[in-house]
Amino acid sequence: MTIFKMYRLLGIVLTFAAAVYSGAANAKIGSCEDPIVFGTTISETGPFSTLTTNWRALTEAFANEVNRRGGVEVKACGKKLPLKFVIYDDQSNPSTAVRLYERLASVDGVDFFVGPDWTSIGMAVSSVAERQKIPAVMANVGARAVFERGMKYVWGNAHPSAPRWSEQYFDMLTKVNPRPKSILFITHDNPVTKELTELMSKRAEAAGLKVLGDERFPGDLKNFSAIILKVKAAKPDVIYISSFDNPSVPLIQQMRQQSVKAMDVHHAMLSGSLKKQVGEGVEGVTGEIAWYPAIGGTHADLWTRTLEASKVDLFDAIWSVGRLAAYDVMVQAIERAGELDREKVRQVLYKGTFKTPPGDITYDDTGFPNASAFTTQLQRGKIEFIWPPERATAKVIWPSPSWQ
Amino acid sequence: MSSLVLLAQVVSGGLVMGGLYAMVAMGLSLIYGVTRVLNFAHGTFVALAGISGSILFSSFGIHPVWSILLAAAAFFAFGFGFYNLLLKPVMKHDHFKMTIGTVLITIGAFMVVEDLASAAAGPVQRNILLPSTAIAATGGIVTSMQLYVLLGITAVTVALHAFLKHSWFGRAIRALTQDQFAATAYGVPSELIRGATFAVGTAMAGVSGVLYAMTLPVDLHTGFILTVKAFTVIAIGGIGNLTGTLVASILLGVTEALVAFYVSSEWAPAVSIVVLLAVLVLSPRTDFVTHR
Repeated sequence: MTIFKMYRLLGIVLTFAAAVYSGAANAKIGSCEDPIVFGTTISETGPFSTLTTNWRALTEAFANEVNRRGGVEVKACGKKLPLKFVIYDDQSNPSTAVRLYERLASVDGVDFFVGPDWTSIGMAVSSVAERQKIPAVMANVGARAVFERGMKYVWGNAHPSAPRWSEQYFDMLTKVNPRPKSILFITHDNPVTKELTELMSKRAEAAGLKVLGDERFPGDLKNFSAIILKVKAAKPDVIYISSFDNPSVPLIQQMRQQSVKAMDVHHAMLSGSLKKQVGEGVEGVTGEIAWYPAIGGTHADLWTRTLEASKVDLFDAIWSVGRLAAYDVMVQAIERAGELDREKVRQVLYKGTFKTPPGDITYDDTGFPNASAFTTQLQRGKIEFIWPPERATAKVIWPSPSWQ
Repeated sequence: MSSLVLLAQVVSGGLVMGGLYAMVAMGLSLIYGVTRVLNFAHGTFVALAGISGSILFSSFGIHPVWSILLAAAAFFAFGFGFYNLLLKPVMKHDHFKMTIGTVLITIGAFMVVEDLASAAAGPVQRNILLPSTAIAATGGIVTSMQLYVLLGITAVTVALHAFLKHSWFGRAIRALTQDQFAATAYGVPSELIRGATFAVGTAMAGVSGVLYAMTLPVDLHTGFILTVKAFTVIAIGGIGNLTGTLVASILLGVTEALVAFYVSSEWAPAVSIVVLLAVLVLSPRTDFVTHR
């Protein structure tokens, strides 16, 4: 090899090394001179994509809105730093999500993780956060099993969190007239919804209701005839559907066709998407919603402007609350820590309480959140807040005339 | 509600499902009987037709009866083109290459159609929601929609039976199903008949898709499940045997309904797989080439 060739080879190697170094240097984790970078994935394709409409725009709008207000206050830097997101599509797939979070940590060099969503993906991604020692405030990861594994860098955001789901609804059931005496659960075979039914069965018994049964169905079931026949035979006063919105579309359609009767049909995840697909059949159904701009609260202005800019309606996309809360909590944690050191931010998040429009979110020592929700009812095609009465936009119509 | 009434309701629901399975399986049976192509995309074509019918109904107000006619014509043309452009060139090779080639082509079509349609129509499930009420004369056991769909299935089955039994084309199809070599020797234009049979089978998928969407919501993932059920029915009923296909479909539909009611809805989808395995293990006669 001639000297010229050796120098040329050395030049190539040095150029390549410089390129790699400059790529890594772009990230400059914890720098006061660069934007704070949140890394996230959104299920923009795959089975969960129906739940994430406009979330990329929502995420970018949140950063724009924070930056319009000057950025994120970092005391150690003596100034506010702009906020930036790196977003990928996890395709609703846990293994894809794991690969992308590894990339966010090692290639993109993000400061913190916000996301992902859904228990199956959150369970897989939490190990990346632990291994990389990057605090992750996940969104819409609500199964307790995710958090009871001794994790130190993972927090959840489910609105409402499973133990407080339907808290207001069951309070309402003890105060309506005529008072219901029995309840039957129809449960989508999913870790979150099964946990929900388990918790709500106990809550129902505590509210004096007799639990008549729990009918389970796989997420891809289209023919609900057998379940509906069992419901009709059991004649419950309240039918509680513990399911994500999409899998229960045929259930509600067929309940209407088969003229099912009850005092109330409650859907744990009543949403605009369900209403669009079922149409008039969903009239009178009660549900839960964590927050809506009309309710107001701390940081309501930030959230409302973000939603308006991204054209996201919270009733159409109920899971957006979990997303916004994850971003809001992480921003608050950084501001409270006063620096971008991941360990300091982790300490702030541990057993922390954070202000959000739906109310205070308090984490327990496992990172599991504690958030409640309001009870809603579809009245004349419009979503109304019916419980608790002091925050209600309309009175509950009881028993629901559409199910008589 | 007495247990007898409950049983009658379970069985009536199973009959409707069985009828729908028969519609799907008859098309697949015809295609395999004549062309020897195991069309893995058949159920996806059914789902595509259902979604198209639903969009025509909800966006343009087109009644499903018109959608059925439209689907029959459109899927006939699609099937004819699909066979002649993609499958026919592979048929010239030896048996092994032909089998592998056609399986790969139909699996590829299943994946491509599913992805394209999913991108165009969105990931939500769709159906054709016509007003439906429980019919009082039956004690509320049957809904008007179930009755319409059953009538539709019966009409299509009778028409197909008459077509196969009495038309020259039908006799040619049956001749090819029974003995391809002899049929060709007696002057049956086998290539044309194969293409046309594939087209008729695909048209059947189109018609059954619209009928399916009138009964239950459909999404593109439904397609592969329907293909598996159709293969089960064919294994039990026999290739080219319409009566056998109908009986096997109804048996499958009713068994699924009984399992869903008396055991659990979570176990009903497993019935077709268990039945398929049982038939293949216990009945040596059933080998996908039972000609009747």
